[in-house]
Amino acid sequence: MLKSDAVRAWIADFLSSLTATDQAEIKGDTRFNTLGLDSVDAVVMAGAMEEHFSTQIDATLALRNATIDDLMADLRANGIVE
Amino acid sequence: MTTAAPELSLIVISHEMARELPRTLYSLSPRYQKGIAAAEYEVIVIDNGSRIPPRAEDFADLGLNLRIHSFANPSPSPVRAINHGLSLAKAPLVGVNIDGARLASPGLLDACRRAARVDPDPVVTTLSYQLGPGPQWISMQQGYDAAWEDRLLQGIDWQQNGYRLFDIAPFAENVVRGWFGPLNESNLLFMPRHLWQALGGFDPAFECPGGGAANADLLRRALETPGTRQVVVLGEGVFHQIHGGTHTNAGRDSLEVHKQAAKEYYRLRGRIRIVDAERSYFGPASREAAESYHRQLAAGHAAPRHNATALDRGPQASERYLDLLKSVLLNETGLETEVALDSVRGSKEIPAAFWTGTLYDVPGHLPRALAEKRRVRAVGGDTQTAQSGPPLGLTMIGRQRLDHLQGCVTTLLAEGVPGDLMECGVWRGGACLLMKAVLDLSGDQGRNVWLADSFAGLPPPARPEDEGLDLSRGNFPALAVSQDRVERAFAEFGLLDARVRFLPGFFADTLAGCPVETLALLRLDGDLYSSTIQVLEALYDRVAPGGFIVVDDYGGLGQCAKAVDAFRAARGITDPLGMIDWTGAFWRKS
Repeated sequence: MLKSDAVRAWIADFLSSLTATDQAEIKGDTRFNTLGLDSVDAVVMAGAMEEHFSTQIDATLALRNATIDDLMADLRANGIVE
Repeated sequence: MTTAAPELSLIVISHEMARELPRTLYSLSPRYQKGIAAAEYEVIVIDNGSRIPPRAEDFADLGLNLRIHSFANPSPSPVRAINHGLSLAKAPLVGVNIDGARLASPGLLDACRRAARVDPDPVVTTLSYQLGPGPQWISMQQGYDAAWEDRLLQGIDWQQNGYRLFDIAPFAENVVRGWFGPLNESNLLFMPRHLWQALGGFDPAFECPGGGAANADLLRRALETPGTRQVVVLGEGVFHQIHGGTHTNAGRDSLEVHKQAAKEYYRLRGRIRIVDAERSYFGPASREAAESYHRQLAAGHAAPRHNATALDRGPQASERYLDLLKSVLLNETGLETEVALDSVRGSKEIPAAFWTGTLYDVPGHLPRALAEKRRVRAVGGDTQTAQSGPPLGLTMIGRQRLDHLQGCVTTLLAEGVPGDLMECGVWRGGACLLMKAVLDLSGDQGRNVWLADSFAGLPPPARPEDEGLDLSRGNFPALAVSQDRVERAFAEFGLLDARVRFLPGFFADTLAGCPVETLALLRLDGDLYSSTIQVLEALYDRVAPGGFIVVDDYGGLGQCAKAVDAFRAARGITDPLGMIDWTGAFWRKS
């Protein structure tokens, strides 16, 4: 299982890089859509996360969550993150 | 073939595109492209492993400076085939159409050529559209296929006015960040030859089928090269025909395909980012382009249709009334509320700031969603967006179909086509309200407006053609509207009188024996195969010569289109069927 802190930090870093947003503006409850993220980007994030952490992440998992906090909770519920 | 070097070379990649490539090449030929001469450009098709490769002699009549090469070492990724094409290009400005199923609009090549003059190191990008009712990876799961697409293309006579392609392609695939946002990729892009050489073409490390993220990578690398500038061509576009494409037409597997492409990209590049540097925009070029594009961009907020002069400053009160009526029927005046509600749809709790802030300043809080809602409403595309339900107005048919309907009624009045007006499947009555308003304005006292509807929602599917399309009340309560409610709307607009006639009940029970005698206009909006065929069988013979038959769901629902085609074939009807927009179709009875 992946470390929660590492995954959370990676997601924030990924979103900051993808959308050219200051990391300070990306918080746990920031809605992805306010960052300009669309459904394709969410799937792209799932792909990058799979590659980075050598794991399997269902694409719909990234699509059905609206914030980092929601996504982390979902990853935990699916036994991907501890 | 010309001996002088062309100004433009365009590489087109094909793979198993016997249906699509002939159209694509026609759209690139001098018979169709405007503002550019045959000798000024060459098209190089690289066939990437088709079982029966295309042959140049089959396209000789296009007058196109064309070469077709079969790539010797085809692979699932087209990247090496593209690079081979790049090595053959002779012109100083070189373009790549990564997917030979993409049709061009008529001014595309000239616009790209002129856009390239904007900067010494231009990266000329174009916008992509998908033919059909919506994103093809979704619409194909609802039955959208080649035959359906062929019907749409046939209905717009695109060979004569290619800008009508915009009308049947409401979904712009790469403007998800807004019309002036950064593009993730460009499916047809031009760069000077020296820039292609500096980049080394496409990166062959991308081995995913269809090239994966190679196209996005190429654009990002080009834009990150110092000194380059992106020039986005507006007013023109490329239009994706449905085929067995790896990405666009993967259907249910689409998410997985995109995920694998992203994975490969991340493995190769170590990061993913969208290049959002300053861009230039170029276009539109011609009046036809402007007209079509305007419908897409203006999104219902069309400029005044009246040409003001020094003496005549504005439209007549009657025009203003009809425009305002259409605006209200579409709920264009209430779009902000709809967008605000969408933003909390499905939320477990609504933040307090919603009631005090968002709701009162939707343009400030949700500008993108508002712009998108405007665009979608103008083309009546609300039912195609999964997240929100039907609009909160009195019709869902969009501004373009309302304008067309108004035109039909004024035409039949002006020409004296006898008979009543009728709609079968009325929902909240918006289209009938508009028809009655136009009749009243004309002073007509003799024609009825008939509203046939169950007023209790659609029937469940009963015929094999409608299998899987259950739009009945249990599934879609918002589609069931009572007669009382529709009558009230007529009363509220001051349009209810004895000439508004209701035929409540399912079509199978009400239409055959109904007291309607002659019809000048018959509008079908029953969605299903069964409903559509029942209306035509019961009422077509009552439509007077010169009368209009308007079909709302021809482009949007395959079941409806099949019923219309079957009926026309059975009756030998050859009056040309024309598309109004991406879904509405009509013909005039001869």
